[in-house]
Amino acid sequence: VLTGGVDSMVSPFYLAGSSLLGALSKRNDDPTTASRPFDKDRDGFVLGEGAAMLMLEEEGHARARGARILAELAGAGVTESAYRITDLHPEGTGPIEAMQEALDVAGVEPEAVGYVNAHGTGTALNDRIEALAVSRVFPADRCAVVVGSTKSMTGHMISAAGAIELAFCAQAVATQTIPPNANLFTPDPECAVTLAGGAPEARSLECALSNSVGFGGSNTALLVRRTAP
Amino acid sequence: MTDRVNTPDDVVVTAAGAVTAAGVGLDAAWAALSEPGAAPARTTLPSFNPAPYLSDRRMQKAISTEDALGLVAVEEAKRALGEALGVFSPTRIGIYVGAPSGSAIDNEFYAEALRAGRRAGGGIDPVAFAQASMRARPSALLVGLPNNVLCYGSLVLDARGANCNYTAGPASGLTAVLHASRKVARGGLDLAVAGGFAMPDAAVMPAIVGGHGWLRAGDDAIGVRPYGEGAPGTVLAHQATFLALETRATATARGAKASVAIRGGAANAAARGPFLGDPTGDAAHMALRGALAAASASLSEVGLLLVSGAGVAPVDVAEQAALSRVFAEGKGNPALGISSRVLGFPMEASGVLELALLPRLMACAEVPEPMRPRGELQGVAPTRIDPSKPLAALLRCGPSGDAVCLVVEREGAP
Repeated sequence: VLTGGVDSMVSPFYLAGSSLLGALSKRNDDPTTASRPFDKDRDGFVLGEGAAMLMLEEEGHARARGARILAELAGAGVTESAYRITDLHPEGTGPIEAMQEALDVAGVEPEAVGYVNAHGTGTALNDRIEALAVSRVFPADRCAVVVGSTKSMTGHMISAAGAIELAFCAQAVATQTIPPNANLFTPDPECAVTLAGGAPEARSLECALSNSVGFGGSNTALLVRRTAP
Repeated sequence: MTDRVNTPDDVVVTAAGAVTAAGVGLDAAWAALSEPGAAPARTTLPSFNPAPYLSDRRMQKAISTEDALGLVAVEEAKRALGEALGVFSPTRIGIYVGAPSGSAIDNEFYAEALRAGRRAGGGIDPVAFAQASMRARPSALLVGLPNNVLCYGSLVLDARGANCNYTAGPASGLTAVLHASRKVARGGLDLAVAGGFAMPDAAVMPAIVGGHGWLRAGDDAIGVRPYGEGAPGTVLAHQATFLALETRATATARGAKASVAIRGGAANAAARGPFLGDPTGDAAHMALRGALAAASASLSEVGLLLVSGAGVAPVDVAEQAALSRVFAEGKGNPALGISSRVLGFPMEASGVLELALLPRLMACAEVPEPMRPRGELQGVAPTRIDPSKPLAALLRCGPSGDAVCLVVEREGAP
């Protein structure tokens, strides 16, 4: 199965809409650092555009044809947590349940997850609540998970975001490298998680999790696991 | 990845909510589809007022009329469930939606703002557009971002479990039902509310369909006349239907009466390009065959086959090609029914209404007169519904090669 997403919302139509929602960064004088997920001075997201497709196949089939396997898609969790049309529940209940379900489906303990590719839009509300949700699923006293948002580099690709971020997670476990969380100048103390740095970091990774949150309360978490060569 | 729970069980329909151009509720739709004679087709709801049907009328202020149509069908399904909804844990309730898009791109709010923001030389002035949007309704810009039926539907139902939105053209609604039933069968949800909605009369969809020359140029009052019946083109319709799905074990445990069991389903695509269809009918035929295989059934057990009869050229060609192969197989062919002759072609809602009405349809000795095919299929497809055959099949195709089929069984069939 080929599966993924595509979006291109960089148009007057959607820019006007997102801007009026107050969701976009106003750092127009410094566009390269405008997307600042988990930074204390973040002020919204930057619209991105792009596409990502992943090929999913049964492991035995892939091995039989000699394919290079990037990762096993080990678990998935999907929940709905409509609270307000654009706001997350303040306790992050929906994302927590989605991440927990992904772990349960995979049969993986939280300690096995070394990297969470967060939804991390760079809006004040999302990042604070998502960090809370991640810290509940991956308690700091048990887990050594690193959290980062690649939207700091790609912008928010909307419908394509989850797909490319899953691809980043697959690459992370395949290459044993945590992607950067760019533009993190002053980590927000209200985001009490261990954040990825501004450069790729080599690290032993058994599992990585991609977390996505949509307007209207749609939450999806996908968990990938390293595979044997 | 493996399913967390894998205990296959029949998934049954225990409640439904519907809005058609004939009115709110299944009775109104059934009356329109079953009354003999040449009653005028009813395809649109030009002055639809959702307010009396919404449990929280404030929702209406933030959504388009098209979204409200879908939400009313969800509300009606909730009413049909009644107190039973409280039996289910919110985290085990999900909503699966077949929708025109992830968000409503052709709603009246945007249309107004786009007109106001249009530059004389082409393009959109974003500032004028934004200002017009805010004047029209401050929440207008929220309309196009979330999937409102999924979002507000989950609020109405307090549904916090798995959910999904499908935008596969006329295959959307049945695809949502198919995937919701699979999720329930695998134990991922205890209750799924699934269906589709469409109100394709704002600026965008008629322009697309009309641009391809697929819109009927003339009297809408005669409905769709597919398969060479002499009035080519489609009549876009307003419709929304949502079903409550649960396992038979769950329904039995809470004393609920099931109307239909989902026995199997399949979806595929054979796209040759956007709007180029599948003239071979391979996708539709494979969907039917796949659904029968999933149901461990044969065509000879199917008493009734319900198809879209869209009047959209590539859809009709694909369906007709598939049906020709089905009916060429010889004796024991299923009866054929088409609702679009009366209620028009409801795009993403297509097929879900017939699933809700299946017990009434299969209780008939013959396909109701208004739903019988004419044109090139007249005389080819039987009209008599064999009461000894417990199964029915619902087949829907999209203009870009999407196809979906469900094989279902009327509960309590002899």
